Amino acid sequence: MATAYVEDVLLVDRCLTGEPAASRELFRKHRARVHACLFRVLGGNRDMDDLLQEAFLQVFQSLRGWRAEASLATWIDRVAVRVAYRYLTQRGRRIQTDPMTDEEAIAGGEGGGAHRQLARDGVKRLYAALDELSAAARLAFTLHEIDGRSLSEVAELVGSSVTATKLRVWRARKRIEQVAAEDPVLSQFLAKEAA
Amino acid sequence: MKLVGRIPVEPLDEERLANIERRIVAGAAERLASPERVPRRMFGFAAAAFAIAAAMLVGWQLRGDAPRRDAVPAIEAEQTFAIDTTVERSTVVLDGATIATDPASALEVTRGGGEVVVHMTRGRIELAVVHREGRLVIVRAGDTEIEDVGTKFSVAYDGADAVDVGVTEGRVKVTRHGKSDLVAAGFAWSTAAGLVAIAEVAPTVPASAQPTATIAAIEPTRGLHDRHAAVPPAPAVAAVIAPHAAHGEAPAGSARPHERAPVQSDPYLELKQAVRGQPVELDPRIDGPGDAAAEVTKLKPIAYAPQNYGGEASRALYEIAVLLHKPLHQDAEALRTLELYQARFGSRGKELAAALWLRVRITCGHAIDDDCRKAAYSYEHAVPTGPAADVAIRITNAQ
Repeated sequence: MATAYVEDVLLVDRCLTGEPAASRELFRKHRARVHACLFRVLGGNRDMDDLLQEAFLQVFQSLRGWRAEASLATWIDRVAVRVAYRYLTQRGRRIQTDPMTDEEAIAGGEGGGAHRQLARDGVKRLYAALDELSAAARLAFTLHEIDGRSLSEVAELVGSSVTATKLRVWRARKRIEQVAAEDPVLSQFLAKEAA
Repeated sequence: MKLVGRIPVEPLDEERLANIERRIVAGAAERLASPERVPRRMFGFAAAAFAIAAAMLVGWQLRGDAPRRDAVPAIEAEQTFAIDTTVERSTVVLDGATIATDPASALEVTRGGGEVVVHMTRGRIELAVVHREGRLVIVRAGDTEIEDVGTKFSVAYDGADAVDVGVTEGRVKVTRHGKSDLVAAGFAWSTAAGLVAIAEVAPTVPASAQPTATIAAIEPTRGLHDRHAAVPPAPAVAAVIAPHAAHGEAPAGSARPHERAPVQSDPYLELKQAVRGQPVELDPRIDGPGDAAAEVTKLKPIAYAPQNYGGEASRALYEIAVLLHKPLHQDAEALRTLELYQARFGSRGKELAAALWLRVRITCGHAIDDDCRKAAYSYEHAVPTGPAADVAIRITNAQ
Protein backbone atom coordinates (compact mmCIF):
# COMPACT_ATOMS: atom_id res chain seq x y z
CA MET A 1 0.00 0.00 0.00
CA ALA A 2 1.50 3.29 -1.07
CA THR A 3 1.89 5.78 1.74
CA ALA A 4 1.22 9.47 1.38
CA TYR A 5 4.97 9.96 1.46
CA VAL A 6 5.55 7.63 -1.45
CA GLU A 7 2.68 9.27 -3.31
CA ASP A 8 4.30 12.67 -2.76
CA VAL A 9 7.61 11.47 -4.16
CA LEU A 10 5.95 9.91 -7.19
CA LEU A 11 3.77 12.98 -7.75
CA VAL A 12 6.85 15.20 -7.71
CA ASP A 13 8.57 12.85 -10.15
CA ARG A 14 5.60 13.14 -12.47
CA CYS A 15 5.59 16.91 -12.15
CA LEU A 16 9.27 16.99 -13.05
CA THR A 17 8.57 15.16 -16.28
CA GLY A 18 6.41 18.14 -17.21
CA GLU A 19 3.13 16.28 -16.97
CA PRO A 20 0.36 18.93 -16.80
CA ALA A 21 -2.04 16.57 -15.03
CA ALA A 22 0.50 16.12 -12.25
CA SER A 23 0.95 19.90 -11.85
CA ARG A 24 -2.80 20.25 -11.64
CA GLU A 25 -3.03 17.45 -9.09
CA LEU A 26 -0.35 19.01 -6.92
CA PHE A 27 -2.07 22.39 -7.02
CA ARG A 28 -5.48 20.96 -6.17
CA LYS A 29 -4.08 18.88 -3.36
CA HIS A 30 -2.43 21.82 -1.59
CA ARG A 31 -4.32 24.95 -2.70
CA ALA A 32 -6.85 25.05 0.14
CA ARG A 33 -4.21 24.82 2.86
CA VAL A 34 -1.94 27.38 1.23
CA HIS A 35 -4.83 29.75 0.63
CA ALA A 36 -5.96 29.46 4.25
CA CYS A 37 -2.44 30.13 5.47
CA LEU A 38 -2.00 33.21 3.27
CA PHE A 39 -5.46 34.49 4.16
CA ARG A 40 -4.77 34.31 7.87
CA VAL A 41 -1.45 36.06 7.47
CA LEU A 42 -2.81 38.84 5.28
CA GLY A 43 -6.35 39.12 6.61
CA GLY A 44 -8.13 39.09 3.28
CA ASN A 45 -8.24 37.96 -0.30
CA ARG A 46 -6.79 41.14 -1.75
CA ASP A 47 -4.06 40.14 -4.23
CA MET A 48 -4.69 36.52 -3.29
CA ASP A 49 -4.80 35.39 -6.93
CA ASP A 50 -1.34 36.77 -7.57
CA LEU A 51 0.03 35.43 -4.30
CA LEU A 52 -1.32 31.92 -4.82
CA GLN A 53 -0.03 31.92 -8.35
CA GLU A 54 3.39 33.18 -7.30
CA ALA A 55 3.61 30.66 -4.47
CA PHE A 56 2.83 27.67 -6.66
CA LEU A 57 5.00 28.84 -9.53
CA GLN A 58 7.87 29.12 -7.09
CA VAL A 59 7.03 25.65 -5.85
CA PHE A 60 7.37 24.32 -9.39
CA GLN A 61 10.51 26.31 -10.01
CA SER A 62 12.14 24.88 -6.91
CA LEU A 63 10.62 21.41 -7.12
CA ARG A 64 13.87 19.93 -8.32
CA GLY A 65 15.40 20.98 -5.02
CA TRP A 66 12.87 19.18 -2.83
CA ARG A 67 14.89 16.52 -1.06
CA ALA A 68 11.94 14.72 0.49
CA GLU A 69 13.40 15.31 3.93
CA ALA A 70 10.45 17.46 4.97
CA SER A 71 6.95 16.50 3.88
CA LEU A 72 5.85 18.04 0.62
CA ALA A 73 3.10 19.98 2.43
CA THR A 74 5.56 21.53 4.89
CA TRP A 75 7.93 22.40 2.10
CA ILE A 76 5.15 24.06 0.06
CA ASP A 77 4.02 25.99 3.15
CA ARG A 78 7.55 27.23 3.58
CA VAL A 79 7.58 28.54 0.01
CA ALA A 80 4.17 30.18 0.54
CA VAL A 81 5.34 31.86 3.75
CA ARG A 82 8.37 33.24 1.91
CA VAL A 83 6.05 34.65 -0.75
CA ALA A 84 3.89 36.24 1.95
CA TYR A 85 6.98 37.68 3.62
CA ARG A 86 8.16 39.26 0.38
CA TYR A 87 4.70 40.63 -0.25
CA LEU A 88 4.57 42.21 3.20
CA THR A 89 8.01 43.76 2.91
CA GLN A 90 7.58 45.00 -0.66
CA ARG A 91 4.24 46.60 0.03
CA GLY A 92 5.57 48.24 3.15
CA ARG A 93 4.25 47.63 6.57
CA ARG A 94 0.87 49.09 5.87
CA ILE A 95 -1.19 46.49 4.15
CA GLN A 96 -4.72 47.44 3.33
CA THR A 97 -6.75 44.72 4.84
CA ASP A 98 -9.81 43.65 2.90
CA PRO A 99 -13.03 44.55 4.59
CA MET A 100 -14.88 41.31 5.15
CA THR A 101 -18.02 41.71 3.15
CA ASP A 102 -19.64 38.43 4.01
CA GLU A 103 -21.19 38.97 7.38
CA GLU A 104 -21.84 35.31 7.88
CA ALA A 105 -18.19 34.62 7.32
CA ILE A 106 -17.35 36.09 10.68
CA ALA A 107 -17.43 33.58 13.47
CA GLY A 108 -20.11 34.43 15.95
CA GLY A 109 -22.35 35.51 13.10
CA GLU A 110 -25.10 33.35 14.48
CA GLY A 111 -25.65 35.98 17.15
CA GLY A 112 -27.40 39.29 16.72
CA GLY A 113 -26.45 42.07 14.34
CA ALA A 114 -24.46 43.84 17.04
CA HIS A 115 -22.31 40.78 17.60
CA ARG A 116 -21.65 40.38 13.92
CA GLN A 117 -20.70 44.01 13.64
CA LEU A 118 -18.37 43.69 16.62
CA ALA A 119 -16.70 40.64 15.15
CA ARG A 120 -16.27 42.32 11.79
CA ASP A 121 -14.88 45.50 13.28
CA GLY A 122 -12.71 43.52 15.66
CA VAL A 123 -11.07 41.57 12.86
CA LYS A 124 -10.53 44.73 10.85
CA ARG A 125 -8.90 46.48 13.78
CA LEU A 126 -6.82 43.46 14.63
CA TYR A 127 -5.34 43.37 11.15
CA ALA A 128 -4.95 47.15 11.18
CA ALA A 129 -2.85 46.69 14.31
CA LEU A 130 -0.92 43.90 12.64
CA ASP A 131 -0.16 46.26 9.75
CA GLU A 132 1.99 48.19 12.19
CA LEU A 133 4.21 45.22 12.92
CA SER A 134 7.27 44.10 11.05
CA ALA A 135 6.73 41.43 8.41
CA ALA A 136 8.59 38.86 10.50
CA ALA A 137 6.58 39.63 13.64
CA ARG A 138 3.32 39.60 11.74
CA LEU A 139 4.14 36.24 10.19
CA ALA A 140 5.13 34.72 13.51
CA PHE A 141 2.03 36.07 15.27
CA THR A 142 -0.50 35.13 12.61
CA LEU A 143 0.92 31.68 11.96
CA HIS A 144 1.00 30.89 15.67
CA GLU A 145 -1.99 32.73 17.11
CA ILE A 146 -4.41 32.65 14.18
CA ASP A 147 -3.32 29.72 11.99
CA GLY A 148 -2.75 27.62 15.11
CA ARG A 149 0.71 26.29 14.31
CA SER A 150 3.16 25.40 17.02
CA LEU A 151 6.13 27.66 17.70
CA SER A 152 8.57 25.09 16.39
CA GLU A 153 6.56 24.69 13.21
CA VAL A 154 6.43 28.46 12.73
CA ALA A 155 10.16 28.66 13.34
CA GLU A 156 10.74 26.04 10.67
CA LEU A 157 8.46 27.80 8.21
CA VAL A 158 10.04 31.22 8.62
CA GLY A 159 13.56 29.83 8.85
CA SER A 160 14.23 31.14 12.31
CA SER A 161 14.99 29.77 15.76
CA VAL A 162 12.23 28.85 18.18
CA THR A 163 13.51 31.42 20.66
CA ALA A 164 13.44 34.23 18.11
CA THR A 165 9.97 33.15 16.99
CA LYS A 166 8.70 33.09 20.54
CA LEU A 167 10.09 36.58 21.09
CA ARG A 168 8.41 37.88 17.94
CA VAL A 169 5.07 36.42 18.96
CA TRP A 170 5.41 37.88 22.44
CA ARG A 171 6.27 41.34 21.13
CA ALA A 172 3.41 41.22 18.63
CA ARG A 173 1.02 40.18 21.37
CA LYS A 174 2.20 43.04 23.57
CA ARG A 175 1.74 45.47 20.72
CA ILE A 176 -1.79 44.23 20.03
CA GLU A 177 -2.62 44.54 23.71
CA GLN A 178 -1.32 48.12 23.72
CA VAL A 179 -3.50 49.01 20.76
CA ALA A 180 -6.44 47.23 22.35
CA ALA A 181 -5.99 49.26 25.53
CA GLU A 182 -6.81 52.37 23.52
CA ASP A 183 -9.38 50.76 21.24
CA PRO A 184 -12.53 49.55 23.00
CA VAL A 185 -13.77 47.68 19.92
CA LEU A 186 -10.59 45.66 19.57
CA SER A 187 -10.42 45.24 23.32
CA GLN A 188 -13.98 43.91 23.40
CA PHE A 189 -13.24 41.63 20.46
CA LEU A 190 -10.14 40.20 22.12
CA ALA A 191 -11.92 39.93 25.45
CA LYS A 192 -14.62 37.92 23.72
CA GLU A 193 -11.90 35.66 22.33
CA ALA A 194 -10.43 35.22 25.79
CA ALA A 195 -13.84 34.45 27.21
CA MET B 1 -5.21 35.77 23.35
CA LYS B 2 -6.84 32.86 21.59
CA LEU B 3 -7.68 33.54 17.97
CA VAL B 4 -7.36 30.11 16.43
CA GLY B 5 -10.52 29.24 14.50
CA ARG B 6 -12.07 32.64 15.11
CA ILE B 7 -11.14 34.19 11.79
CA PRO B 8 -12.66 32.09 9.05
CA VAL B 9 -11.17 31.95 5.60
CA GLU B 10 -13.28 33.45 2.86
CA PRO B 11 -13.19 30.91 0.03
CA LEU B 12 -12.20 31.96 -3.45
CA ASP B 13 -14.92 31.44 -5.99
CA GLU B 14 -14.59 28.68 -8.53
CA GLU B 15 -13.94 31.00 -11.43
CA ARG B 16 -10.99 32.64 -9.70
CA LEU B 17 -9.61 29.26 -8.71
CA ALA B 18 -10.00 27.95 -12.24
CA ASN B 19 -8.14 30.97 -13.60
CA ILE B 20 -5.35 30.56 -11.07
CA GLU B 21 -5.08 26.87 -11.84
CA ARG B 22 -4.93 27.51 -15.57
CA ARG B 23 -2.13 30.04 -15.16
CA ILE B 24 -0.21 27.81 -12.78
CA VAL B 25 -0.43 24.72 -14.98
CA ALA B 26 0.62 26.78 -17.98
CA GLY B 27 3.52 28.31 -16.07
CA ALA B 28 4.58 25.14 -14.30
CA ALA B 29 6.17 23.49 -17.34
CA GLU B 30 8.12 26.65 -18.07
CA ARG B 31 9.26 27.01 -14.47
CA LEU B 32 10.20 23.36 -14.22
CA ALA B 33 12.28 23.67 -17.36
CA SER B 34 14.16 26.75 -16.21
CA PRO B 35 16.71 26.86 -13.42
CA GLU B 36 15.82 28.76 -10.28
CA ARG B 37 16.59 32.45 -10.53
CA VAL B 38 19.32 33.88 -8.40
CA PRO B 39 18.38 37.22 -6.83
CA ARG B 40 20.05 40.06 -8.68
CA ARG B 41 21.43 41.61 -5.51
CA MET B 42 23.51 38.52 -4.92
CA PHE B 43 25.59 39.41 -7.96
CA GLY B 44 26.22 42.84 -6.48
CA PHE B 45 27.41 41.37 -3.23
CA ALA B 46 29.62 38.93 -5.06
CA ALA B 47 31.22 41.68 -7.10
CA ALA B 48 31.80 43.89 -4.09
CA ALA B 49 33.01 41.32 -1.61
CA PHE B 50 36.36 39.68 -1.24
CA ALA B 51 36.85 36.49 -3.18
CA ILE B 52 36.46 34.26 -0.18
CA ALA B 53 33.39 36.10 1.02
CA ALA B 54 31.91 35.85 -2.45
CA ALA B 55 32.64 32.15 -2.58
CA MET B 56 30.96 31.65 0.77
CA LEU B 57 27.98 33.68 -0.35
CA VAL B 58 27.57 31.75 -3.56
CA GLY B 59 28.06 28.51 -1.67
CA TRP B 60 25.33 29.51 0.71
CA GLN B 61 23.10 30.53 -2.13
CA LEU B 62 23.59 27.28 -3.92
CA ARG B 63 22.99 25.04 -0.98
CA GLY B 64 19.64 23.42 -0.29
CA ASP B 65 17.25 24.55 -2.97
CA ALA B 66 19.80 25.01 -5.73
CA PRO B 67 18.55 23.31 -8.85
CA ARG B 68 20.39 20.86 -11.01
CA ARG B 69 20.86 21.95 -14.57
CA ASP B 70 19.32 18.93 -16.15
CA ALA B 71 16.27 20.84 -17.25
CA VAL B 72 13.43 18.76 -18.57
CA PRO B 73 11.82 20.12 -21.73
CA ALA B 74 8.11 20.77 -21.63
CA ILE B 75 6.12 18.00 -23.20
CA GLU B 76 3.36 18.20 -25.72
CA ALA B 77 -0.25 17.70 -24.75
CA GLU B 78 -0.36 14.41 -26.63
CA GLN B 79 2.54 12.01 -26.84
CA THR B 80 3.16 8.70 -28.46
CA PHE B 81 6.14 6.56 -27.82
CA ALA B 82 7.13 3.02 -28.50
CA ILE B 83 8.64 0.41 -26.19
CA ASP B 84 10.35 -2.61 -27.71
CA THR B 85 12.23 -4.70 -25.20
CA THR B 86 14.47 -7.64 -25.89
CA VAL B 87 15.87 -8.92 -22.66
CA GLU B 88 15.30 -5.97 -20.37
CA ARG B 89 12.16 -5.32 -18.43
CA SER B 90 10.97 -1.74 -18.31
CA THR B 91 8.61 0.34 -16.26
CA VAL B 92 6.80 3.46 -17.41
CA VAL B 93 4.72 5.73 -15.21
CA LEU B 94 2.13 7.81 -17.04
CA ASP B 95 -0.72 9.78 -15.49
CA GLY B 96 -0.67 7.54 -12.45
CA ALA B 97 -0.63 4.33 -14.50
CA THR B 98 2.43 2.16 -13.99
CA ILE B 99 3.12 -0.08 -16.98
CA ALA B 100 5.70 -2.82 -16.46
CA THR B 101 6.74 -4.83 -19.49
CA ASP B 102 8.18 -8.31 -19.66
CA PRO B 103 11.22 -8.98 -21.82
CA ALA B 104 10.44 -9.38 -25.51
CA SER B 105 7.43 -7.10 -25.38
CA ALA B 106 6.56 -4.48 -27.96
CA LEU B 107 3.99 -1.79 -27.46
CA GLU B 108 3.14 1.77 -28.24
CA VAL B 109 1.74 4.15 -25.67
CA THR B 110 -0.30 7.20 -26.61
CA ARG B 111 -1.61 9.65 -24.10
CA GLY B 112 -3.70 12.74 -24.41
CA GLY B 113 -7.31 13.78 -24.26
CA GLY B 114 -7.70 12.17 -20.86
CA GLU B 115 -6.70 8.73 -22.13
CA VAL B 116 -3.69 6.50 -21.99
CA VAL B 117 -3.89 3.99 -24.84
CA VAL B 118 -1.49 1.06 -24.98
CA HIS B 119 -1.24 -0.75 -28.33
CA MET B 120 0.42 -4.12 -27.78
CA THR B 121 2.20 -5.84 -30.63
CA ARG B 122 3.42 -8.78 -28.57
CA GLY B 123 4.60 -9.76 -25.11
CA ARG B 124 3.21 -9.25 -21.66
CA ILE B 125 2.61 -6.19 -19.52
CA GLU B 126 1.38 -5.50 -16.04
CA LEU B 127 -0.49 -2.36 -15.17
CA ALA B 128 -1.22 -0.69 -11.85
CA VAL B 129 -3.68 2.10 -12.44
CA VAL B 130 -4.71 4.68 -9.86
CA HIS B 131 -8.31 5.70 -10.36
CA ARG B 132 -8.61 9.27 -11.55
CA GLU B 133 -11.79 11.01 -12.53
CA GLY B 134 -12.07 11.42 -16.28
CA ARG B 135 -8.94 9.42 -17.10
CA LEU B 136 -9.17 6.15 -18.99
CA VAL B 137 -6.53 3.52 -19.60
CA ILE B 138 -7.13 1.25 -22.57
CA VAL B 139 -5.00 -1.67 -23.72
CA ARG B 140 -5.46 -2.90 -27.30
CA ALA B 141 -4.07 -6.32 -28.16
CA GLY B 142 -5.04 -7.39 -31.65
CA ASP B 143 -8.81 -7.22 -31.85
CA THR B 144 -9.21 -7.28 -28.08
CA GLU B 145 -9.65 -4.12 -26.05
CA ILE B 146 -9.20 -3.98 -22.28
CA GLU B 147 -10.58 -0.92 -20.57
CA ASP B 148 -9.52 -0.10 -17.06
CA VAL B 149 -10.77 2.23 -14.35
CA GLY B 150 -8.42 1.95 -11.38
CA THR B 151 -7.01 -1.51 -10.84
CA LYS B 152 -4.05 -3.85 -11.23
CA PHE B 153 -4.02 -6.30 -14.07
CA SER B 154 -1.83 -7.98 -16.63
CA VAL B 155 -2.16 -8.58 -20.35
CA ALA B 156 -0.25 -11.19 -22.35
CA TYR B 157 -0.43 -11.20 -26.14
CA ASP B 158 1.28 -13.64 -28.47
CA GLY B 159 1.23 -11.20 -31.36
CA ALA B 160 -1.31 -13.25 -33.31
CA ASP B 161 -4.57 -14.14 -31.66
CA ALA B 162 -4.18 -15.30 -28.06
CA VAL B 163 -4.75 -12.68 -25.38
CA ASP B 164 -4.73 -13.44 -21.65
CA VAL B 165 -5.92 -10.96 -19.04
CA GLY B 166 -5.49 -11.46 -15.29
CA VAL B 167 -6.97 -9.06 -12.74
CA THR B 168 -5.65 -8.81 -9.19
CA GLU B 169 -7.41 -5.66 -8.01
CA GLY B 170 -10.50 -3.79 -9.16
CA ARG B 171 -12.00 -4.80 -12.48
CA VAL B 172 -11.56 -4.27 -16.19
CA LYS B 173 -13.84 -4.46 -19.20
CA VAL B 174 -12.64 -6.73 -21.99
CA THR B 175 -14.21 -6.23 -25.41
CA ARG B 176 -13.65 -8.51 -28.39
CA HIS B 177 -15.68 -8.78 -31.55
CA GLY B 178 -18.30 -6.49 -30.07
CA LYS B 179 -18.81 -8.66 -26.99
CA SER B 180 -17.81 -7.32 -23.58
CA ASP B 181 -16.95 -9.11 -20.34
CA LEU B 182 -16.33 -7.52 -16.97
CA VAL B 183 -13.35 -9.23 -15.34
CA ALA B 184 -13.13 -8.71 -11.58
CA ALA B 185 -10.23 -9.26 -9.18
CA GLY B 186 -9.30 -12.93 -8.89
CA PHE B 187 -10.54 -13.71 -12.38
CA ALA B 188 -8.82 -14.09 -15.70
CA TRP B 189 -9.99 -13.82 -19.26
CA SER B 190 -8.51 -15.38 -22.36
CA THR B 191 -9.42 -15.64 -25.98
CA ALA B 192 -9.40 -19.41 -25.60
CA ALA B 193 -11.34 -19.89 -22.38
CA GLY B 194 -13.24 -16.67 -21.85
CA LEU B 195 -13.86 -15.67 -18.23
CA VAL B 196 -12.45 -18.01 -15.56
CA ALA B 197 -11.31 -17.73 -11.96
CA ILE B 198 -7.55 -17.48 -11.62
CA ALA B 199 -7.66 -20.14 -8.93
CA GLU B 200 -9.28 -22.54 -11.42
CA VAL B 201 -6.52 -22.26 -13.97
CA ALA B 202 -3.52 -21.73 -11.72
CA PRO B 203 -4.05 -23.26 -8.30
CA THR B 204 -0.32 -23.42 -7.67
CA VAL B 205 2.33 -21.99 -9.88
CA PRO B 206 5.62 -23.86 -9.85
CA ALA B 207 8.40 -21.61 -8.68
CA SER B 208 10.60 -22.34 -11.63
CA ALA B 209 7.88 -22.25 -14.27
CA GLN B 210 8.79 -20.14 -17.27
CA PRO B 211 6.24 -17.61 -18.44
CA THR B 212 4.17 -18.77 -21.38
CA ALA B 213 1.29 -17.27 -23.23
CA THR B 214 -1.34 -19.15 -21.28
CA ILE B 215 -3.47 -18.01 -18.40
CA ALA B 216 -1.47 -20.15 -16.01
CA ALA B 217 1.52 -18.03 -16.79
CA ILE B 218 0.16 -14.94 -15.09
CA GLU B 219 3.23 -14.28 -13.03
CA PRO B 220 4.17 -11.46 -10.71
CA THR B 221 6.11 -8.50 -11.93
CA ARG B 222 9.61 -8.61 -10.61
CA GLY B 223 9.41 -6.58 -7.51
CA LEU B 224 6.68 -4.24 -8.59
CA HIS B 225 3.69 -5.82 -6.94
CA ASP B 226 2.86 -9.00 -5.21
CA ARG B 227 0.44 -11.24 -7.00
CA HIS B 228 -1.89 -11.92 -4.11
CA ALA B 229 -4.23 -14.11 -6.10
CA ALA B 230 -1.46 -16.49 -7.08
CA VAL B 231 0.10 -16.87 -3.65
CA PRO B 232 -0.99 -20.14 -2.07
CA PRO B 233 -3.28 -19.54 0.90
CA ALA B 234 -1.79 -19.43 4.35
CA PRO B 235 -1.95 -22.70 6.22
CA ALA B 236 -4.17 -23.05 9.26
CA VAL B 237 -2.03 -22.72 12.36
CA ALA B 238 -3.58 -25.77 14.00
CA ALA B 239 -2.47 -27.95 11.11
CA VAL B 240 1.14 -26.82 11.27
CA ILE B 241 3.28 -29.00 13.46
CA ALA B 242 6.21 -30.11 11.36
CA PRO B 243 5.94 -28.43 8.01
CA HIS B 244 8.74 -30.06 6.10
CA ALA B 245 8.35 -33.46 7.67
CA ALA B 246 4.83 -33.44 6.31
CA HIS B 247 6.22 -33.09 2.81
CA GLY B 248 8.73 -35.81 3.44
CA GLU B 249 11.53 -33.78 1.96
CA ALA B 250 14.38 -31.66 3.09
CA PRO B 251 14.62 -28.34 1.31
CA ALA B 252 17.36 -28.53 -1.25
CA GLY B 253 20.12 -26.00 -1.04
CA SER B 254 18.89 -24.31 2.09
CA ALA B 255 21.47 -22.68 4.27
CA ARG B 256 20.48 -24.77 7.25
CA PRO B 257 19.25 -28.27 6.59
CA HIS B 258 16.76 -29.87 8.91
CA GLU B 259 18.39 -31.05 12.06
CA ARG B 260 15.45 -31.14 14.37
CA ALA B 261 11.71 -30.84 14.24
CA PRO B 262 10.35 -27.37 14.95
CA VAL B 263 8.96 -26.92 18.41
CA GLN B 264 5.21 -26.82 18.57
CA SER B 265 5.12 -23.29 19.98
CA ASP B 266 6.69 -21.92 16.84
CA PRO B 267 6.38 -24.31 13.94
CA TYR B 268 8.30 -21.98 11.71
CA LEU B 269 11.32 -21.53 13.95
CA GLU B 270 13.63 -23.41 11.65
CA LEU B 271 12.32 -21.49 8.67
CA LYS B 272 12.95 -18.19 10.43
CA GLN B 273 16.47 -19.32 11.22
CA ALA B 274 16.99 -20.19 7.58
CA VAL B 275 15.82 -16.69 6.63
CA ARG B 276 18.21 -15.08 9.08
CA GLY B 277 20.98 -17.36 7.87
CA GLN B 278 20.97 -15.72 4.46
CA PRO B 279 23.29 -12.74 4.20
CA VAL B 280 22.03 -9.23 3.52
CA GLU B 281 23.58 -8.28 0.24
CA LEU B 282 25.38 -4.97 -0.25
CA ASP B 283 25.35 -4.38 3.48
CA PRO B 284 27.14 -1.11 4.27
CA ARG B 285 28.23 -2.82 7.51
CA ILE B 286 27.67 -0.04 10.00
CA ASP B 287 26.89 -1.40 13.44
CA GLY B 288 26.39 1.53 15.81
CA PRO B 289 22.96 3.20 15.73
CA GLY B 290 24.55 6.65 15.87
CA ASP B 291 26.81 5.96 12.91
CA ALA B 292 23.93 4.36 11.03
CA ALA B 293 21.69 7.38 11.62
CA ALA B 294 24.46 9.69 10.42
CA GLU B 295 24.95 7.54 7.34
CA VAL B 296 21.21 7.60 6.61
CA THR B 297 21.26 11.40 6.84
CA LYS B 298 24.16 11.45 4.41
CA LEU B 299 22.46 9.09 1.98
CA LYS B 300 19.05 10.77 1.96
CA PRO B 301 19.87 13.69 -0.36
CA ILE B 302 21.29 11.22 -2.88
CA ALA B 303 18.47 8.72 -2.59
CA TYR B 304 15.50 11.05 -2.44
CA ALA B 305 16.55 13.63 -5.00
CA PRO B 306 13.50 13.78 -7.27
CA GLN B 307 13.94 12.20 -10.67
CA ASN B 308 17.33 10.85 -9.81
CA TYR B 309 17.05 7.34 -11.19
CA GLY B 310 20.77 6.66 -11.41
CA GLY B 311 22.59 3.75 -9.88
CA GLU B 312 23.94 5.94 -7.11
CA ALA B 313 20.42 6.89 -6.03
CA SER B 314 19.10 3.33 -6.10
CA ARG B 315 22.09 2.07 -4.14
CA ALA B 316 21.67 4.84 -1.57
CA LEU B 317 17.97 4.09 -1.13
CA TYR B 318 18.65 0.40 -0.68
CA GLU B 319 21.40 1.08 1.86
CA ILE B 320 19.05 3.31 3.81
CA ALA B 321 16.62 0.39 4.02
CA VAL B 322 19.39 -1.92 5.24
CA LEU B 323 20.52 0.56 7.89
CA LEU B 324 16.98 1.16 9.06
CA HIS B 325 16.49 -2.57 9.43
CA LYS B 326 19.68 -3.66 11.08
CA PRO B 327 21.35 -1.18 13.38
CA LEU B 328 18.33 1.10 13.77
CA HIS B 329 15.59 -1.55 14.09
CA GLN B 330 13.02 0.62 12.30
CA ASP B 331 11.46 -2.14 10.26
CA ALA B 332 8.29 -0.30 9.33
CA GLU B 333 10.39 2.54 7.97
CA ALA B 334 12.66 0.07 6.22
CA LEU B 335 9.68 -1.57 4.51
CA ARG B 336 8.40 1.81 3.45
CA THR B 337 11.80 2.60 1.99
CA LEU B 338 11.81 -0.69 0.09
CA GLU B 339 8.35 0.11 -1.21
CA LEU B 340 9.67 3.42 -2.47
CA TYR B 341 12.67 1.66 -3.99
CA GLN B 342 10.40 -0.64 -5.97
CA ALA B 343 8.09 2.18 -7.01
CA ARG B 344 10.93 4.38 -8.21
CA PHE B 345 13.44 2.00 -9.67
CA GLY B 346 11.50 -1.20 -10.27
CA SER B 347 13.40 -3.65 -12.40
CA ARG B 348 15.97 -1.00 -13.32
CA GLY B 349 17.41 -1.03 -9.82
CA LYS B 350 20.56 -3.08 -9.67
CA GLU B 351 19.81 -3.89 -6.06
CA LEU B 352 16.31 -5.18 -6.80
CA ALA B 353 17.05 -8.80 -5.89
CA ALA B 354 18.76 -7.71 -2.69
CA ALA B 355 15.85 -5.37 -1.91
CA LEU B 356 13.34 -8.16 -2.44
CA TRP B 357 15.29 -10.43 -0.14
CA LEU B 358 15.55 -7.73 2.49
CA ARG B 359 11.77 -7.50 2.41
CA VAL B 360 11.55 -11.24 2.95
CA ARG B 361 14.01 -11.01 5.81
CA ILE B 362 12.09 -8.21 7.52
CA THR B 363 8.55 -9.54 7.06
CA CYS B 364 9.41 -13.19 7.75
CA GLY B 365 11.56 -12.21 10.71
CA HIS B 366 8.38 -11.20 12.52
CA ALA B 367 6.10 -14.02 11.46
CA ILE B 368 5.62 -16.50 8.67
CA ASP B 369 2.32 -14.97 7.67
CA ASP B 370 0.66 -13.81 4.49
CA ASP B 371 2.88 -10.75 4.12
CA CYS B 372 5.93 -12.96 4.52
CA ARG B 373 4.65 -15.44 1.98
CA LYS B 374 3.86 -12.70 -0.52
CA ALA B 375 7.34 -11.26 -0.11
CA ALA B 376 8.88 -14.71 -0.53
CA TYR B 377 6.73 -15.39 -3.55
CA SER B 378 7.87 -12.16 -5.22
CA TYR B 379 11.48 -13.00 -4.45
CA GLU B 380 11.41 -16.54 -5.80
CA HIS B 381 10.00 -15.32 -9.08
CA ALA B 382 12.58 -12.58 -9.39
CA VAL B 383 15.46 -14.87 -8.37
CA PRO B 384 14.41 -18.44 -9.17
CA THR B 385 17.64 -20.16 -8.10
CA GLY B 386 20.13 -19.93 -5.27
CA PRO B 387 20.14 -20.55 -1.56
CA ALA B 388 17.90 -17.61 -0.75
CA ALA B 389 15.45 -18.68 -3.45
CA ASP B 390 15.33 -22.12 -1.88
CA VAL B 391 14.37 -20.57 1.43
CA ALA B 392 11.76 -18.44 -0.30
CA ILE B 393 10.30 -21.51 -2.00
CA ARG B 394 10.13 -23.30 1.32
CA ILE B 395 8.27 -20.35 2.81
CA THR B 396 5.66 -20.28 0.07
CA ASN B 397 5.29 -24.05 0.18
CA ALA B 398 5.14 -24.26 3.97
CA GLN B 399 1.97 -25.95 5.16
